Amino acid sequence: MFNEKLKKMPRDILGDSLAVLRIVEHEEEENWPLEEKPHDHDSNNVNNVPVINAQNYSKNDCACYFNYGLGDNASNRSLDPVYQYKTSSLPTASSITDSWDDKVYSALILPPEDIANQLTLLDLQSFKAIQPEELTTCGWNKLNKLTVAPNVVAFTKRFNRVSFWTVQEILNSQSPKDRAETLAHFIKVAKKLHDLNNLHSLFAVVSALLSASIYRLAKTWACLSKKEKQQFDKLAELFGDKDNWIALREYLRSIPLPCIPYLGIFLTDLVYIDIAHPAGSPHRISKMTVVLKALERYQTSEYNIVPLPNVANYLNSVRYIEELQKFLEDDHYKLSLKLEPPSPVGSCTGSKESVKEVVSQGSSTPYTLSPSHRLGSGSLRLHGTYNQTKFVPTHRKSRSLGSKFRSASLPRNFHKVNFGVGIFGKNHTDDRVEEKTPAGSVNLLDDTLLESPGSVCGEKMSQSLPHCDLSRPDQMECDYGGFVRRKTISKDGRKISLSSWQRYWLEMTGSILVFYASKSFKGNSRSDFRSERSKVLALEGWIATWCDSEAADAFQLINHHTKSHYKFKTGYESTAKEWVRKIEEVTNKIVKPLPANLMSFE
Amino acid sequence: MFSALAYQLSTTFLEEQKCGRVVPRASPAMSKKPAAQPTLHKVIMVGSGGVGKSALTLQFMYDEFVEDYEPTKADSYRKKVVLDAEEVQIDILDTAGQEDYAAIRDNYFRSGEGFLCVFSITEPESFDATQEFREQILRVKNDENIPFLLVGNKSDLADKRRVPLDACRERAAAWQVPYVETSAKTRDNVDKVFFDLMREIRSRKTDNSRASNGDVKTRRRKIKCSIL
Repeated sequence: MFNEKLKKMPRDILGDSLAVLRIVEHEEEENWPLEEKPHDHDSNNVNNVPVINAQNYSKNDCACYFNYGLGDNASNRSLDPVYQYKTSSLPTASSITDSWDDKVYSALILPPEDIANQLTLLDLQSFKAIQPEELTTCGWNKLNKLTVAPNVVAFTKRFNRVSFWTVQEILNSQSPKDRAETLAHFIKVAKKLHDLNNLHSLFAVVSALLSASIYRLAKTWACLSKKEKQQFDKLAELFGDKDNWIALREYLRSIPLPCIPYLGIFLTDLVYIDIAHPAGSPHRISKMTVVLKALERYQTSEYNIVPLPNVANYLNSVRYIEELQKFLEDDHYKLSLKLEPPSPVGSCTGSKESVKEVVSQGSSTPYTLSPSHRLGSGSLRLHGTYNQTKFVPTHRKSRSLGSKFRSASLPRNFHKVNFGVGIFGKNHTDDRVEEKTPAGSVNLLDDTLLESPGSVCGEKMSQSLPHCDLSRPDQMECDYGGFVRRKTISKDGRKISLSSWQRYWLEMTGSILVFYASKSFKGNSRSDFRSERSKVLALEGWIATWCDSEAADAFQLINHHTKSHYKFKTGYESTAKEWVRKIEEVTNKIVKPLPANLMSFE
Repeated sequence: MFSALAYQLSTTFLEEQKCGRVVPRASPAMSKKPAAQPTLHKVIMVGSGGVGKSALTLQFMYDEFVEDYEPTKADSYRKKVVLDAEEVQIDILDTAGQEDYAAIRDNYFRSGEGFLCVFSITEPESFDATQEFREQILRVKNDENIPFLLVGNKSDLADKRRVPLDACRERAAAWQVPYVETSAKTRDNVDKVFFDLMREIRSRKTDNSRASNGDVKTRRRKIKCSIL
C-alpha cells in the first residue's frame, strides 16, 4: 500500500538543505529515548537517508539547489517534484515506472492516527524524564541548560522538531493543491493529538501552520474545505495568548489524564514566580509547588498505544542542528516566498509600478488553480498584452523573484531581511538566475505571456518565430493534423505530478505545432475542437520519439533545453509513428539560427 | 473606514467582556461611562532568556506590590494606566521561559501592536539576538514602522557592561527606533519604555484610522485618539 501511494505522491524528504543537516544531528542518540539503533531492514533504510545526503553535502556544498549531480539515487529523485524543480537533471520517460523506495516514509503516506499515536508515545517518554530540580532552578533558561536541565531542553527540542517537520512537509509540495493535501493531513494529525490530550505536539503542529512560512500561503489555504479550516481555527483558538493563555489553562484543567501538557506556559509561570518571589521569600515554595504538582500529575499519564518502530524511526529521523534553527527558518520562508510569491503590499500607493507588478506576477506565477495553467510548456500562450510585456529571458522563478526586488511597494529593507541572509553565505536567488537563464529560447516566451486562449497573436510574435509567419494565421496551410491526447510530464525541469490527459486537435504547420482545445468532452474529429488555436509550440529544440514501451499509440516530445516533456496519445500506432516521422522531418530541416553578429552582415 | 470601525467596535466589545469578567474593580468606572472603554494596547516583550524581560514586566505591572502577582490569573499582565491624561489599558505578552520554543513566536508576534526588544548590556549574545528578533517581527508584521523600542536592560550593572553604548545607538539608528536603557532593579526608565511604546502604538493607530479614512496625505503622527 505504501509503495503504491508513494508512486502516486512522491515527495522529498531528502533533498532539502534542512534534511541534509540530519546527518550531523544523528550523533545525539541519547536524547531520544525510544530511538534504537537499526535492527531490522526497515529502520536500516530510514537510517540510510542521512548517508545519501552526506554525499550531496560534500559534493554540492549544500548551498546550491541546482547543482545536484545525477548520483546513484537519481532514479528516486527524478520521481520527486521538488527535486525535479531543484535539479538540472533531465526528466526521463522511465522515471514513472521506476520503483520508489517503499521504506522511505513521508508524512502523507502515514495515517494521521499513527503519526499522532507515535508522537504521543515519544513525547510521553520525554516528558516523564523531566525532573523537578530542572524546573525549580529555572535551569533551562541558563547558559548551562544542557547540564542543569537536559530533559526540559530535550522536550522542548521535540516540540521544535515536530513543528519544523510539519512546515517542511507542507513546503515540499509544488502545487497549492498538493500542499493543501499535506496541510489537511496535518490538521487531521492535530485533531488526533487533540483527542489524545497531547497538547505538546498539538501546539507544535498548530504553531507550524501558524508560522510565517505556512500562514501566508493563501492559495494553499484556499484549497482547504471550510470544515477543515474551521477545525483548525478551533484547535488554534486553544493556544491563543489572550488573557494570559486562559483558553489553554482552562482546557488543561478540564481534561482528564492521560495528558501531555504544553510545558511552555508552566515554564513562564516558573520564571515569573522566580522573579516575583526570589529565594527566601515566603511564598516561593508554595507557588512553585503548585506548578510542580500539576506537572507531576500529568507525568503519571499512561497511554495504551502500540509502538510502531518504523513510524517512530521516521519521526525521529527529522532532525537538524539547533544552532542553525534560525537559518532553517529563513530557508523555509524563502521557499515559501518562491512557492507563492507575495502580492504587492501597500496597495495604497497605487503606483504604476505596483500595477505592473500585478501583471508581471500574474504571468510568471507558475501555480494557479486552473489546471490549464500547468500545461503547455514550451507553448506560446497568446495574449493581446504581449507587446506590453518585455521579453526577459530568464527562468520564471528568477523572474518572479526579480520582479519583487524591484517592487517599490515593499518595505525598504524587505529584501535584506528576507533574502539577504543566505544560510551558507550564498544567495540562492543569484544561483537561480545564473543557472536557469537559457540563451533566449523561443519556448521560454511562454514565461512572459499570459494565457488567453483564442486571442490572436500580434505581429510581434513573428519576430520570435522565424520559420512561420503567424501574422496571418488564417492563411496558414496545415501540413499534418489529427486528434491527440496530451499529458504534461514535466515543464521547465519541473515535474507536473498531477497532470491529466487533455484532448486537443493538433496541427503541424511548418515547424510549428498548433493546439486547438476541445469544445466538448468527446469526439475526435476536427469539428469537436475550437477553431481558434489555444497553444502554439515551435518545434525547434524538441525531439519526438515513439514510445512503444508504454503504449503503441503514444509518442513523446522532449525538449532537453527547457527540460520539458510531453506525452501524446493518438489512438493508433500508425498515427503515432507518423507524427514522429513528420516532426523529425521538420526538426531535421530546421536551420540553426545564425548568431547575431553574423546576421548583421546581411 | 470599515476596518477602523470594526477594529474599534471589536476592541470595545473585548474590553466589555474582559472588564465584565475579570476586572470587577473597573465596574464603578463602567457604570459612569459604559460606552467609552479604554483603548487596549498590546505590547510584546521579546529578547533572549535571562535578559530581564519578566523583571521589567513585573516592575511595571506591580511595582513594589509584586507579592500580589499570581501567575495563572487572566489579568495578570493587563493594567489600566493613564497615558497623557487618557485612560488606556496595556496588555503585556511576555513568554519569558519559552524562548527556546522558537516555533511559537511567529504566531504571538502576529497579535502584537508594539514590541519591546530587550537585551542585557552585560551580555553581547543577547544584543546579537535582537537582530534576529527584529527580522522575525518585520517578517511577520510586514511593516517597518511597527512600534518598536530597543531596550538595553541592567543599566545598574555599568561596571559589567559589555555592549558599548555606541553599538546600541547605532543599531537603533539603523532600525530607526528609539533606544532606551533600563534597570528593572532600580526601576530606572521602566515606566518610560512602556509609556513611550504605548505612545507609538497610539499614534500608529491614529495614523491607520486616518489612512483608512482616505486621509492618506497627512501621514504625520499626531497624538490624538479618536474614540467612537
